[in-house]
Amino acid sequence: MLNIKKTIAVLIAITAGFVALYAAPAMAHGEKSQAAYLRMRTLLWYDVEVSTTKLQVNDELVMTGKFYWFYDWPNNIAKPEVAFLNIGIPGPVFVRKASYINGVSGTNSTRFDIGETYEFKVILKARRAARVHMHALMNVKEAGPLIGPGRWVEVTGDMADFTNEVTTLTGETIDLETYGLVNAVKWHIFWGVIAAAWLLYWIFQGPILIPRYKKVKLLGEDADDMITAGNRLVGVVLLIGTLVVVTWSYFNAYAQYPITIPLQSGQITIPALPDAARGVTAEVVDAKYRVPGRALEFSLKVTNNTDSPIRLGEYTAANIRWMNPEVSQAEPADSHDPVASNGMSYEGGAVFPGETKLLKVTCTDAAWETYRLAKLIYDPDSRFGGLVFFFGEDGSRSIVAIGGPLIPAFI
Amino acid sequence: MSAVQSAITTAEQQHRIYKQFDWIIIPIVVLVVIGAFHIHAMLTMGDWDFWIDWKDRRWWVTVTPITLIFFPAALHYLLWENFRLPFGATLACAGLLIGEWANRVANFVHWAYFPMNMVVPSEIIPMALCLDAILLVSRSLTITGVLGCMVWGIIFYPSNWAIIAPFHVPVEYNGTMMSVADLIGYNYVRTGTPEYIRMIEEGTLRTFGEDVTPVSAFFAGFISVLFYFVWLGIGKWFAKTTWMKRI
Repeated sequence: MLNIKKTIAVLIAITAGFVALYAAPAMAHGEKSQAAYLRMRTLLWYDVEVSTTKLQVNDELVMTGKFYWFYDWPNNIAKPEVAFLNIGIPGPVFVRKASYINGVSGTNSTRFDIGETYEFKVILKARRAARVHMHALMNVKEAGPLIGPGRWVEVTGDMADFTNEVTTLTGETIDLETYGLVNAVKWHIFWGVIAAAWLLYWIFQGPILIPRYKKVKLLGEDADDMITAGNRLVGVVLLIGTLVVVTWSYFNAYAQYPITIPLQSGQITIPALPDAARGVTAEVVDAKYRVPGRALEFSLKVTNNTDSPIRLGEYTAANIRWMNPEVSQAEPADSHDPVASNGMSYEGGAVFPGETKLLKVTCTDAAWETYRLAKLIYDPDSRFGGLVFFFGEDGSRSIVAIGGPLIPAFI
Repeated sequence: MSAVQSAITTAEQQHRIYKQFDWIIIPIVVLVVIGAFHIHAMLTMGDWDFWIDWKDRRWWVTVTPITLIFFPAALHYLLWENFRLPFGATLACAGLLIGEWANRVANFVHWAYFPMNMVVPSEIIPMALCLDAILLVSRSLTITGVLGCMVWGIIFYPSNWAIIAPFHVPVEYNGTMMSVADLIGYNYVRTGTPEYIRMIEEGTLRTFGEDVTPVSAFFAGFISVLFYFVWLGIGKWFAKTTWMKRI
């Protein structure tokens, strides 16, 4: 005969076993899940760095970098009329002590211009021990989060040691971790006790459900007679007492905190950085994505108006970097930093000052598939975008946004 | 003589059975109210109640009383019409607060690591006590709906000012003036809660300046009156005893 208890216990054990074996910690923030065109043609991040990847509670970390608002913005995505520089981390592992866009404080939301470049800096203070994958992030109103490159960061130490003190304009130094909590709990307990007393006053008047239900049905229109004068007196005392306490607490709080302000929010406009192209123009003549080879191939008409010969060193899009090691070298910062160190090559050599030349560029890497960029060819408009980095012999760097239609080559 | 006889033969036995019935049903009702009202609150007022930097003087004051009048109204109908018990609002609001505190402590603090002072729930017990007391004194759902719900909406902000006033003290931070609540919101990173969704003082109501709170509170009271009667109807529908013909 089937032993029900034993069967349930076995089923629970099997389920728990499956969960324990299968469940893996969240490793990232779903950046691959965003559509390829969104990652390639909205906000393009580059030069993103963190000052350290290992720190103690109360230590500070600085994240810096730049972002470019792509000129060929998809028409189905809201433009960055209102946006907020943020950080993608799982809960407040850090507190954000400061954030700057082109040196201006980023506490408020910002309006950005399409086709312009900005630099950012975020200062974070470690709050609790954790190993987290943190991203630069831009929230755009009605468009959602546009996520930047991520870095693994490890915080050690004890959260109990963390403090977050600030001095108010009224001269009081407070710790934001605990400020106002005792007062809030005190009021919740006070009103909770009154509520409990009120409920128990009725519940302990003997059995209240069946007898009262029967009596209500029996008395019909006279059921209000069940409420005694004593009950109503309690009601009057409760009503007046509640209003008195509320009124007193309101004016008492005003007396304790005579200077208060409403919640603040607002929007600022920040001028963009100077043009990062620095006299170089580049235009895509044709482009195709070779599916079997997992390669983007495009012809680039480049004009060099600088004083130095330039060579193509990097193509970046969707936070992935394809490097031409003969010109510029970079290695992945960690296990989840998508850098194709040998991913780019091109034909055409250096572009000399005053010259216009056609370069044939190939960007190859498995990242086209693993980061789901190859899905671009199934988009309704099948256009790609990105930044190309030219390097001069004098060490200068010119960054140009490129993009255009993308033709797939299936064979 | 009927072939089936009641096991209850004395008044004392009957009293004991009734008491046991109370002890079984009341905890179940309380748990159902906590769960259902909590889900309703999270889906309607949601962030306005979660975060200290969302407890503003305009939308929080308006949204919270309106969305929270639903369950008290429905329970008022159920408990008053069937039992002449005037504690529906307090039962609903106390239950909601139990659920909210459990949620904030377990999820927001111990799971997501937000500081507790950032996620303290709104205080709603005084409003519930007034609503119940007015029902008890007036013995009328109509008077409770009109008078009680205006009080319900109007006293929400004063009831909470003792808790949130410290968080409205100004701070100078990186060249910007913020309230302590704003600063907590800025410091403790929330990936999905950008600053711009807190831009709520827009439109002509902003011309009321500091007096926007009383206007919002009266509006909240007025709409609460309307929704009280809507939810009395819903409470009536849910309180039908279609299958219980006889006790």
